[in-house]
Amino acid sequence: MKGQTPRGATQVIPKRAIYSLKRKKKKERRAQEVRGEAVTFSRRNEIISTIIMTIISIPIFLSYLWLFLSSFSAKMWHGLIPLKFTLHNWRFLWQPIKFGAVMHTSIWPITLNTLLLALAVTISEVLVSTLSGYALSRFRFKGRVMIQGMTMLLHAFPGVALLIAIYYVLYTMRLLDTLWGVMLVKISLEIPMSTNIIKGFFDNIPWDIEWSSFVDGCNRWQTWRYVILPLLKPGIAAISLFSFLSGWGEFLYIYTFIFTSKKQTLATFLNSLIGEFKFVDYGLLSAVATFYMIPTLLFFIFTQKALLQMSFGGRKA
Amino acid sequence: MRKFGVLLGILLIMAVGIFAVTTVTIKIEGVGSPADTTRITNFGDAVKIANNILAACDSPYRIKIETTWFQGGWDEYRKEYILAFKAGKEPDIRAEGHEDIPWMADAGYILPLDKYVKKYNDIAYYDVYPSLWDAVKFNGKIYAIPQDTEARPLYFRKDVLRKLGWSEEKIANFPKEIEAGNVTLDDLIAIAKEAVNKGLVEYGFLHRPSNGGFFTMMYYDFGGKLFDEAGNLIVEEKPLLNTLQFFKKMVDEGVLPSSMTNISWRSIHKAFVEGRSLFWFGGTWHWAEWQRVAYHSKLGALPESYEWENIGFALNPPPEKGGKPITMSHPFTYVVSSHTKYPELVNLLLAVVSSPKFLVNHALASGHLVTRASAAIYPSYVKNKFVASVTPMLKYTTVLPNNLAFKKIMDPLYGAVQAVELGKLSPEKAVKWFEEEVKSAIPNIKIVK
Repeated sequence: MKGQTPRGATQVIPKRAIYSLKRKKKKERRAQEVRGEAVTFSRRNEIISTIIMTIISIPIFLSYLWLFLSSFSAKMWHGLIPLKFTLHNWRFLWQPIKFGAVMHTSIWPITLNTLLLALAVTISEVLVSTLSGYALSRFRFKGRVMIQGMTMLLHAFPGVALLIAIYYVLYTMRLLDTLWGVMLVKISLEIPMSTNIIKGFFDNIPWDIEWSSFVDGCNRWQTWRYVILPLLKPGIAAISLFSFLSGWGEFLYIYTFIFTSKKQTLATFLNSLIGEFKFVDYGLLSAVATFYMIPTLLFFIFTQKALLQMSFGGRKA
Repeated sequence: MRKFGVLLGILLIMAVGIFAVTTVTIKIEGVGSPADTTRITNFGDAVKIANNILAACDSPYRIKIETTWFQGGWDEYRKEYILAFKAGKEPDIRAEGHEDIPWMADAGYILPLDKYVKKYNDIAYYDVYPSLWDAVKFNGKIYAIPQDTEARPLYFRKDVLRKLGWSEEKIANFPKEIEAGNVTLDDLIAIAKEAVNKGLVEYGFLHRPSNGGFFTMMYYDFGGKLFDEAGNLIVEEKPLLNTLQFFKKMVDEGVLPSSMTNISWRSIHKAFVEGRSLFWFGGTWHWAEWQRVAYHSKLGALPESYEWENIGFALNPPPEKGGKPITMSHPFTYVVSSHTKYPELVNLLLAVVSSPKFLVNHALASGHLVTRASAAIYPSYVKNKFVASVTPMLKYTTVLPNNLAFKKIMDPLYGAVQAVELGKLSPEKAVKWFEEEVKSAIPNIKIVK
């Protein structure tokens, strides 16, 4: 009969109903995202995404594993399988590295230089960009749009294109061959990006919260310090991580503007260990590279929780 | 009593003023393989002697040194100096290849040293080989102190020749046969081809994979000249074509990989020390480098006994029978920054470090040769089997010209060799390309047809 499914036949679901169901599911998922709830996937999708992510991650994981294993191996079979455990490659931790009859500087002052650069960049960027990001997000002043545009423009310049200009600026300021000079360059070139990132986080914090704090008697500074800043943790974590990584991994400016070996950082030290490739000690290189990665991994582990808490919502005052 | 105290105070201040010693820091930078590091570590002992001399002369100065060893390519080494010089942060003394003197002197980066060479001539420089002074001159002035020299021999694997059926006597006589002009470059190709065809080696020949003096040496070997009688820079077309045809022939005969200039230095050394290549156009310093760097996958760094057992060295054969074999020296030198605040102290230090003891110490550690006759008769130098064997090669040596425009010839020469080996250009077309390149860079150069 019309409107009834014949016995034994598969029930035909109209296409419109399927689309409507899909739309409904999509809507629900978006609503979950907006509410900051964990989005649920079907089992099949979960398996597919896990397989894809595993395939993509395997080469990266294997390269890190190789680096780690080779740093503890006296010999690698066909350059792949570690054959004999050794700590010899890690000798740079307790003695200066020798190249022929020359003793390199100990790794510790070099690590300290790297840490100083990374921390200076991180602290300065967080301080400046949280304040400037707040101003760009909340205040309406003349030239605001232009400043935003200019910061993006500055960030768009690749560092290599500015090398000669920066060299002359540092030369004029007598900051060549100093870590201070490189710090200033890094900070000034990174601030626009972190300002833009943090501005996005400020934009996501509802005005209601600020108004509530004003009603409760806070001034601008107190609102920023006691109300906004705690809500900004993920944003601060994000720019801290980016700026730390940028400072810790900086190579080009150190390589170009630092001429004294005592002032080098781990990135340029690694480069000098490689040299012309002819004399490279791969075990030592792997160990120094693993050592170089440790602070980055630690920093990421400690900030990833904050990075993942990226939802905002209005609360009643 | 009070007056006495004031007088005593004044005398004390004067005494401190008179006997005060100022310690100045002299920065030194060097470059090279791990075997070459004596180039700067020698200064550790030299500075003690220099300070003793200063103390004996009641000089108010004492020297402290700060040394840096640069690990990287030549272009990076040059770039670093240019940037550091502009910032006033360059080292006072720097080890440099002699071919860099023209551009450094021309740009005012380094000091002319004639005055100091004259001053210390009687104790340090009177017996420096005259050809080395020529290598450090630019526009008639001395700009550097020769630090070491070397020969560039043709290394060969004795073990492979044994497998080819050569007797020990024939192997031992091989260098002498080359010196006598009885072995030509074509003969080498034939031997290499036999070894490759029998599966004894992977490569017949290997040469350096980057630009360097070797390619100019081969041009010289084919009779090429770079200066005419009036001292003008020239290029001779016929020897250039023959040189390129030689590289082409090696590739065509299957004894040289066409991608030779794309193989890494490490892979090349590894292939030769492991006996996978019969010939290697190397330098005397490689003998020491193989003992220091673990190129061999099983033996690591080679014991010298292994080298004597399996590796031989000879002059580079001439292209035709009865011709003269050839080698090339690339003297390393010490140059002095024109910014240095203490040229007198720097030159005192250079005079001390040029004493036979330090020259021999460096030569024995690095497989280089000494720059002074008095060092060549030093007992430990004379007793050393390797340096004693390679020193006679200096009779056949040549050097790269100290000319500002020479790099504009050297670069396209290397480019032409690369193009021929890769099969991108025939030797004839490569010559044409080379001439166009050179003429555009040096418009007044004479190409001898």
